Amino acid sequence: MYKKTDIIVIIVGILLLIISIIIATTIGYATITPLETFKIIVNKFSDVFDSSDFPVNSEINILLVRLPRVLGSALAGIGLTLAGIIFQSILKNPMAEPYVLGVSSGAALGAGVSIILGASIAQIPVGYTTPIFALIGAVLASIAVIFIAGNSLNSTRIILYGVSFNFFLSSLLTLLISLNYERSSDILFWTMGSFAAMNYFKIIVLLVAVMIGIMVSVYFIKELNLFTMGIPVAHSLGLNVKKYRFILLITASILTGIIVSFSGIIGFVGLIIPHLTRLFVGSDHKKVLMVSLPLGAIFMIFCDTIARSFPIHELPVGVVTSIIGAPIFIYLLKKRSKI
Amino acid sequence: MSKFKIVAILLLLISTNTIFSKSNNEVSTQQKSAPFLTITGSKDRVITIEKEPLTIVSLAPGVTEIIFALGRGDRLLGRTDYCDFPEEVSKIPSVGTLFQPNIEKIVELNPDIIIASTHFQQEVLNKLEEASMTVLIVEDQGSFEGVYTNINTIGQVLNATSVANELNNAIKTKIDNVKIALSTLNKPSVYYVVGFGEYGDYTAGGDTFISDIIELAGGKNSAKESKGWSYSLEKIVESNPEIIICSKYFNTKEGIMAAAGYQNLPAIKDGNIFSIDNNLIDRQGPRIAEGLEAMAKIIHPEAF
Repeated sequence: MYKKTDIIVIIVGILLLIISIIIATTIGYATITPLETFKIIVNKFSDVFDSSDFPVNSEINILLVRLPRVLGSALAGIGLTLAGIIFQSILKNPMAEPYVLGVSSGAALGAGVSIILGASIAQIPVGYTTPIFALIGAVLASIAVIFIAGNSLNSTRIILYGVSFNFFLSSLLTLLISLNYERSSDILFWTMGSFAAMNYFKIIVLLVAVMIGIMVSVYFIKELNLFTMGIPVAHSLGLNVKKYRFILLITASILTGIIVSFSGIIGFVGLIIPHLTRLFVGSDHKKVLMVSLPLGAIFMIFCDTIARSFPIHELPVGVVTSIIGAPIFIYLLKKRSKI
Repeated sequence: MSKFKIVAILLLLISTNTIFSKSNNEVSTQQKSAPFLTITGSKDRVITIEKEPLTIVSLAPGVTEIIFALGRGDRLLGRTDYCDFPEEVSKIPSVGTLFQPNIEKIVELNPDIIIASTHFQQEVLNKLEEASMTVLIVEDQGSFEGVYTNINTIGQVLNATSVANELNNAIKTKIDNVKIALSTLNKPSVYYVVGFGEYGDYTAGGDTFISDIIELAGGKNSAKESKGWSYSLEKIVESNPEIIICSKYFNTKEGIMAAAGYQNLPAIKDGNIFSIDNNLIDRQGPRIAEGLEAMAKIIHPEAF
């Protein structure tokens, strides 16, 4: 089923991704030369170089601050792109994105509740309360919308359910903020999104989630292609719409929920990267997946590198994704549509 | 398809394996000598300081002010954007904002200790601890007792205990003097503006530190009945405060005088709106007594 050219495309994608990770790790606010960075990383696996070649704090900066951010942003980029592809296919709507079923507002509400409670619950390790609350919020919100959608074959209606629910949850968050003025800035910062708090535990969780997401979507690639023709068509072709829709939506929602709970709400990537890919490779999901996942990862690494090494101040990464991504996308869309 | 799955599973295994093996040989830099100090910070976090900290990064304006007041400003390697007092801080590089300091910058500065207030985010703390930084968090609950405790704690950490005691005594004396000067005077009602206009009306409710300061400065907080910060114009009109006090920054006074609803308040019509350097009373710092004095001078100019 996979031709030689496909395998080449996959390998090239992975290679480009690895190169991006290496380059991004050498860039940052702290002045560490690419050579030092290289030595530090190599030394982590085996002591090839003399450890007095570089200061201890450079080692900490590379291994514990910078590398987790780069890897985390790569995985989030893959995950959000994948979720975007699934939502756009199933809902057959170009405006669908990972947050369409209320994942983002559910997560934000969960995070908001935990920030306001100042919650430190004994059973949860310090620092994971907000992510766990956010994840619960995200999953509950998307399950609620999928449940409300029920057997509906009308995808526009599902989107409307999602949009309304999104508004409902955001209003609850706004209410919460207005009643807790002194915590408002904490919540605002959370919602703006950042990879600053990435660590290796979170990366493993993200990696597992992304891998499961990729496996599910590869396994159901035929169904994804059928959904693109519209739910009624897919239904008449004998597809068990409800079953596959449930599996795929819940996978994409949980994947998005995990990403959002670790990094806050980062917009645009899940909406635009799949479209960008389709402009060049068409709408066959095999090709879309092969090209867009590495592209999403590289784009996210690129944006986070700018966000964290911007002079004077770190920028919210969600701002960078949109400021850079939107003009590029509009330009390409305009150029391609002339044909 | 199956090939793809195998590749995926392999990738997963390889990557988790390398990550786990990484964390096994973490460098431990602990020395076995007796620590300089073991101290309990905010949220009962017990931190051990190995040797007297000679380099500091401060992550709160109040903390920065205390460090300077203790005569340890020369040890500061980094501060936040909001740290603007005393003037010398402008020479110290900033590590970012109060909420999102740049962790890479802090790690590169490699201070002996990082002192923050409870404003800063748990995630930043976790990250700094992962990077084996020593982080002391001082409480920011808003009270004079809190100021004394913070000055004492930071004094201990920076080996300046006697200066800390002198500083606290000086603050206490100033506060007592204000109390004595005001003891026999009446208490006009005061409305303190935290926010106004299109984004909502906010004031310092009865349970806030600013409210305590207003009462100590010989005023009656007109929003004493409310809790927290949310308020409404309707309640201001109803309580009809005699004096309105706002921040001296961002042209707040002019803004309030021109704001719909506010401009008709008797206090504003009579010119009883005054501005104060709110940094004095917002920060849990050594200038808190000056803040109280400033507030008292506004409410009772006749007493000074």
